[in-house]
Amino acid sequence: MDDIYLITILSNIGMISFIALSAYLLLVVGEISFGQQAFFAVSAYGSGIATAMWGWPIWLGLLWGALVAGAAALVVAIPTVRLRGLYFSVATLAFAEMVRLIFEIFTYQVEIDGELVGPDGSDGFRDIRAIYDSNVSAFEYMLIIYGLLAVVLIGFLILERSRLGAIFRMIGEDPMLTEMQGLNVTKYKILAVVMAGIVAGIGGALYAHLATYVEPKIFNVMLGVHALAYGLIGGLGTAFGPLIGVAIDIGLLESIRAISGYRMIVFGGLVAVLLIVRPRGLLDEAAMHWLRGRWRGLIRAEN
Amino acid sequence: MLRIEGLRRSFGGVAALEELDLAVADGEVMGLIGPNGSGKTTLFNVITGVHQADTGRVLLREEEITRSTPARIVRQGIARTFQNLRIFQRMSVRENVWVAQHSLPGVGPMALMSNRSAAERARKAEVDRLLDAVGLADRRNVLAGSLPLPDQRRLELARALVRSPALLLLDEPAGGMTPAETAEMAALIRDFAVPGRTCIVIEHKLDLISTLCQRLCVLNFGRKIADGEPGRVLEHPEVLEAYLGRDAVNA
Amino acid sequence: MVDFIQNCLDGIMLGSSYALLAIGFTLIFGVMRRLNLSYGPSIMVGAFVGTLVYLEFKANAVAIAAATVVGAVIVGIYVERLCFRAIRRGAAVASMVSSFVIWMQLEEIVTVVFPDRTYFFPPMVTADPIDLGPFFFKVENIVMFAVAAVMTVLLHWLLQYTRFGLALRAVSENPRAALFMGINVGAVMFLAFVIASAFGGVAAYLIVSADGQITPLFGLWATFKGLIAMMLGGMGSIPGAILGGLLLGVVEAQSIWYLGTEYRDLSAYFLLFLFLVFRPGGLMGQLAVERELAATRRV
Repeated sequence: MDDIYLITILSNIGMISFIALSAYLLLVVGEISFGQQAFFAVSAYGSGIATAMWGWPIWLGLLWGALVAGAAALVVAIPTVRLRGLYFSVATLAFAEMVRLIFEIFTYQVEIDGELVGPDGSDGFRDIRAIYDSNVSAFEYMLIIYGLLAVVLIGFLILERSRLGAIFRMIGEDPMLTEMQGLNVTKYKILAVVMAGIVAGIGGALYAHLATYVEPKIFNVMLGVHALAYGLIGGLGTAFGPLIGVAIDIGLLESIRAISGYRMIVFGGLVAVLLIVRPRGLLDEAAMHWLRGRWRGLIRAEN
Repeated sequence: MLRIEGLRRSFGGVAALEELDLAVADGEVMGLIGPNGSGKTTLFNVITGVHQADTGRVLLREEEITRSTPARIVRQGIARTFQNLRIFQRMSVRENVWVAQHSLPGVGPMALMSNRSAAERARKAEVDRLLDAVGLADRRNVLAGSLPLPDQRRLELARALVRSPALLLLDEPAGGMTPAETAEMAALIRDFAVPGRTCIVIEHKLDLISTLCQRLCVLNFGRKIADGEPGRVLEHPEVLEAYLGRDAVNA
Repeated sequence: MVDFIQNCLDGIMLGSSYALLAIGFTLIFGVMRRLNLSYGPSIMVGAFVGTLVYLEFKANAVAIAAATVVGAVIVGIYVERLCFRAIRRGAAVASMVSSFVIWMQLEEIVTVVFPDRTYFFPPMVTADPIDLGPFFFKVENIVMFAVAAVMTVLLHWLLQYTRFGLALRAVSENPRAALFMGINVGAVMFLAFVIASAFGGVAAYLIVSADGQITPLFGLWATFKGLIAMMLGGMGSIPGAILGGLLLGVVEAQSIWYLGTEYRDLSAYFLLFLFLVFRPGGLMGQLAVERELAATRRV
């Protein structure tokens, strides 16, 4: 019993990590998105439709969900990426709320084995049963979640050391100066938004199949703003930052049952104080720079 | 190398540049001086596409770049530094130079993701060579924001040079420096930045100008008031008036 | 045609409450250049303070309204100290996220103190709707509109004809320059926050008493309605906030009538999205955007 509880919490941490990483990527390029939950939602519905209604295998459904989310991100990015600061943030919010409200009225059902399957407006989308039909246990599914998370995380770590990652950080710090290095800032920002959309999409597809049921109101703005907060709590210097944020929020505070009813009172206060001391989070760029310096020093000492 | 024709740019009714004509030959090092607000930095901004010209044309190697974006202009071989220093403060010194290579020809999608190829190693070696030349080699892993001002200016110079630009625009490279630091900077630019390329240097410090430039151009209220060999330009009555005021000239 | 005009009238009445919310928002944004997500939740707490006064003392409408405003102002001060004053300049994102976690905190405090979620909130007046030719008006809507109009005039006077107003305009134009002029920027920001919270408190009272009930979700609703109205009008502009609020009200009223209730928010967000893409400065704020663009392009 306790095991199932633990597996559920760990699976949740894993899935939320995707959307936190997605919001983090945009924070790195200096944009605040209130709308990453839209790509999470699009992919949850998209992959659910693919597996439950079209009978596609799970892996193809996950891939499809991520792609649909990436395509949706491209559609948002093109008109909005030139907007700076708060304008971009509110545009992402408006888009995400539009997506949620469209799912509230979106109905597309087919009859399978005498039962209606498919999204039914605000009643949601039931019976996305692919993982149960193929006898994947909760534990195995958790491993799938963490396997994919590891792949994405390794991608982020490679990105951090690469020129492309540097371009993203440059844009985050000074777009004009980045332009003056001969780089087309708009193009790279669109790329970042699409990549962030795909990452959120992977999380959404995983979520739909674990929950077997999605309804529009899950994808409200609270999900997106939490995702945003995780990156800023954990720190903007490394992709581990958002994961630390998620782990602190869900893991630590959920597991201390005594305060679970007062979780946000404690958590909110803690984070507000943290942001006063470290406005770019626990592991910010300066902290990571210091850590990397220590690491290099250690390696040199061993040789 | 660079030709400017009838350039005009105003900000809300105030003309920062008016009917400016200017030509800079290949390999020439030109000083650009003028009182505050005379349009020097605006000229750099228009050349590099940060501001759009209202009228007039800018030609680089006889190719028009007037309506181009900053990114494209930079890729055509112009690099610049900034009067009020612009560096990536949250990146290390070495990264600040390295990032200027991102848009060099040869850095394709693969090179953007991987840093293990031979070409990439060569590019990193070039970064280190430049840092060594400007005297920042021992601090290459320091966060750039924590460098003292003269070192930040040296860092900007290295970042501009790593692209091997044909035309280099230096905006007060010795701004805020002591006389000793200025002399050091002047020597650095003379020995390292100038050879093999065309330069325009904005500077108030005349000793730096006289070390570097064969030609001096003076702007006042967005107009060119004198242009030529430095010694002569500085004796030009309009230049004296612009700098010292009418009374001083008459006295 | 009668329907269309009736919808417009309803929309303007509804929109006047949005306008009040947006004025508070835009005051804070204009002075701070930061977004206060806790704005809605802090006036929601104010409304719950009003509810408490009603439940404990069976107080009259004036006392409840006063309690609501005082509660909103006190919570507003808490938010200002913790999320804005304490976080250094230049860390606007940190302020915003901080105001978000405080939102979550406020919401949870309210649900702990008021576990039933939905509470009755006494209406300020009980009267039948007034007929005027083919049109009809609800009395509480007329009161809302009148109060909004009076408060707007009051604010206009405060900003244009008092020393404090001058200082506030100076700070929102250029805080550094204001500082060099000897203006106590911190104090001006603090007072702007207090005024905005008081505005929000009044708006909260009017809206909640017209609804006859209050839930903790009111915070989210108020933040987003205020934010949308502010963006439609143009950030930092008071006339913009009013026009934006009225426009939002009219668009919602028309969508409810012609498309159905489920399209109310969808059309509002769609309108907002169009505005942001094609006219990001909103109805009034085009200049502000250009100024901001000029600032970001400054080299």
